[in-house]
Amino acid sequence: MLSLLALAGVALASAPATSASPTTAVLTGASAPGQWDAGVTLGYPWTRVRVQRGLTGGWTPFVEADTALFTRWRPAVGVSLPWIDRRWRLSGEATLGWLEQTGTLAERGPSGSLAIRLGRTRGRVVPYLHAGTEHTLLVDRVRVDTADGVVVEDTARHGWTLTGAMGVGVALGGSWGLDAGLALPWVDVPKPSIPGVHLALQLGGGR
Amino acid sequence: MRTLLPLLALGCAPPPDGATYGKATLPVTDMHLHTGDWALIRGSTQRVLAGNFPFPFGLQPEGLAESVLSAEGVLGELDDAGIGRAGMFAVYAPRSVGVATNAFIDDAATTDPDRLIGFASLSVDDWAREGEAQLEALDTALASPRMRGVKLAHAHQHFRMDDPRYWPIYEIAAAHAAPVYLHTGTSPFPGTQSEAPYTDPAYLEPAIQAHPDTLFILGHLGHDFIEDVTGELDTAVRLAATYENVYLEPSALGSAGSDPEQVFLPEAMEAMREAGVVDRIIYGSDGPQSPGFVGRYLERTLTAMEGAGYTEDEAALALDGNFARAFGLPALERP
Repeated sequence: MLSLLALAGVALASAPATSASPTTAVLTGASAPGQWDAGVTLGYPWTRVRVQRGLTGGWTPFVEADTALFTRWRPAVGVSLPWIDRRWRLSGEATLGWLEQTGTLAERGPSGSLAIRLGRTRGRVVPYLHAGTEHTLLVDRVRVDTADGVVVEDTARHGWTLTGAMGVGVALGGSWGLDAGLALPWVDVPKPSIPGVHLALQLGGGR
Repeated sequence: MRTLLPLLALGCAPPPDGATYGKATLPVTDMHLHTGDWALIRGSTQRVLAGNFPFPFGLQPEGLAESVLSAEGVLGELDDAGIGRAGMFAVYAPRSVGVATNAFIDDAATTDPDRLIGFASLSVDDWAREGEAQLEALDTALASPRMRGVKLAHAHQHFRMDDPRYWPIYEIAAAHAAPVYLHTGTSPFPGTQSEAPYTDPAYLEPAIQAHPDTLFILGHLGHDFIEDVTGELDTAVRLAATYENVYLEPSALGSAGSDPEQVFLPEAMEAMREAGVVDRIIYGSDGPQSPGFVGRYLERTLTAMEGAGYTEDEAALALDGNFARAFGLPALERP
């Protein structure tokens, strides 16, 4: 990853600044004040939609929804704030959402997450790295038929997922761009997870 | 591609590689595998099984489960692990894990009858009214040349180990020279009984004494899968040391999920060797569970045996020789 970042930095050091491109904005988690940006990610197993708007002071509220195989859904609202904003931008973000998983492993509950987004803000090419931790309050319900009737027992459980992604975006125009990358989550720690892949489209720049 | 591999293997099956133990390559029989129809597995058990799959496969487990659970899938797992043959269990436990009928197992074994050995079972629900019919069905199932053993799981099937009303099962098994595999210890699956009369192999002792012509294989060595602690290992080993018709099978307790620190399986292998009952150990994994599990469990078992100082000949007995003797089958040839 470090070599990838270094190569991108050397090769594109002289490219025009595109810090306001939707690709940069979405991948680094910060839109220019008053600017709308959106990203649509398609891949295996994750599909994701994110819409964000820049406010003054660097704050960028957003709404997003992701799903794994259209079986595990998590809609959320959140806010992002750049901590470092030079040639590279490092943003921190927090979300509140709801996990809804259907099928054999059905489960649901409120969730929250903290994450960082690191990405290059100069040039058309935007290498990026995302990492975060997501926590969900899950409730297991057991119904037991007893001689005195049905007894319902609810047990709270903590679900923990480490989120991560890395890839490279390319700002192809002032209002759109693409990225390709790897999803590197660890879903429901300590159970094993496999990496995912994705292609994404970013749109925006509008006010 | 995954599902094609076993089919290709059927056409031009290479000889199994066996297991590398020290400088030797030893043939392996895994006596404890499951096959079945995913749709006939209870939802709560499907959840446990799907939870073993790496994310995201557990989200939509049907296809993967079917490919692993089918006879072709089982053969593929055996090939990947270098295992020569395996037992496949019928299950009649509708209140806990579900059902895999004798007919299903017998049919599955036809896929490769030299490598897939069926274990019959029977329903013990409503025993007072259905018992005779179930015993006749078991007798019929064991008449098939592909069905060489009997599988019982008191905890899953909700009947006590010391209840003599079920002893005719052992008599039928002896009449067919079919060893009886019994789940001992608690079970991680919902809907199973966890009290001692259903899980502690000490409760089997009267039946073992009363049926010297029946071979009893104590599966899981009485391990406590609920608390994830060594359960009734000492009792299981004592029974094998005391009675010649008792064998021991250390499946599942050493899996990555049950034994992440690799404590239980080494402890069990050491205890059995120290008690002088290596000639009663029959290897089993309790797979296939998830892709690669069968091979990983074999690796963990080999490591445990090496750690406990098993000689090459002792390992060969545990991996195949004892199974062949108990089931009256020829031992597998060394690769």
